Amino acid sequence: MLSLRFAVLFIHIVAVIVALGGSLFSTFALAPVLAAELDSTARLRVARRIVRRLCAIVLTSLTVLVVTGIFNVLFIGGVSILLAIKLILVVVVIALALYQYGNIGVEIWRTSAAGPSPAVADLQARFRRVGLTVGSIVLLIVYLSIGLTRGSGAIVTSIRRGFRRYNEKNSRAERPPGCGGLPRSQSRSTL
Amino acid sequence: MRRLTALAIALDVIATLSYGTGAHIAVRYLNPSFGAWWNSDEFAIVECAAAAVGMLIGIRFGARLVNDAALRSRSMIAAAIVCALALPIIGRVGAEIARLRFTSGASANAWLIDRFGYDAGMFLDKLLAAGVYSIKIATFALPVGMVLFGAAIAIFMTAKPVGDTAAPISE
Repeated sequence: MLSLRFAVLFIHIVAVIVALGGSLFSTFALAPVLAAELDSTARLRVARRIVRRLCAIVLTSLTVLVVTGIFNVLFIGGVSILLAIKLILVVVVIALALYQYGNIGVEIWRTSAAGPSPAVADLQARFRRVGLTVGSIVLLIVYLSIGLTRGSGAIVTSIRRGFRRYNEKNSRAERPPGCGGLPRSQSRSTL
Repeated sequence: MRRLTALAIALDVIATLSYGTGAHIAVRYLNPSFGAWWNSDEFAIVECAAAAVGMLIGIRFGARLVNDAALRSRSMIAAAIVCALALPIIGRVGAEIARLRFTSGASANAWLIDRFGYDAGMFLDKLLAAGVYSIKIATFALPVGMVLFGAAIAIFMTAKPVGDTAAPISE
């Protein structure tokens, strides 16, 4: 429970939750409420500050994710095709996040200084679209991670279990009636 | 940054080729003391140079995605400094990861020996292994460079918003 591997995995998962949860909350909860409750000037003022704070949260989480992810690879002790695909997707996510905050976010900050305008609205829509893409790819990465740590192993275990049951059933069926069969310890060792 | 990347690539290629071909013997012949030093340290140079190449490419790739010139240059410098400080650690961890076996696929050793004969095949196999090792370290260091650049952007954007030339709305 208190091993380094456990701690690294815990921090890795927390970083995913923070990065993904922050983006989803701002897109699906905060933005609609702001649009409904505030006038355009106040909304823009809040949005400007959110972009900056979200930038710090998401990019820091991604940094933690990559650093702990590298240690996780060391703990797994092997590189597979699934891991290679995951790494490519991680690079894509980082690139998109940098584009979202370093390009669109800065542009929103700069353009919105003069007040609400159609250009700012377009930038905000683009910001949300890129954020949703990042969120979707992160979800895909999470799915691949489950496959990497649990999925393939679970599949192999279930296949082995199935074979074991099948062999057990066949060996029982082949035994002549009245024969007690092998002792439990022997039958286990043959399987 | 471009010159630094070129320098790191040149150092990586030289050290990798030297390790792969066993060129330290020739260096020892020309200058015994330098050859001995080169022989003992060339592998560490391969690891560190490959990690530096990966991180610098990551920083430069990340910088292309940022719009604001001032923010970009400040973040690049900060990320490069952090990368330089963390280079021994990242080089070591990258090397550990590069040593991990790929869970599928065959070794090129048998094919190379079959195609070029035993001596040439073994020589090419060592050269290929050194090259792949270097590329793997650089590949794992690339996202590290990108996220360090991202972290620098986050810090600079939070500390003082860049590109905010006009007065913000009642802030």
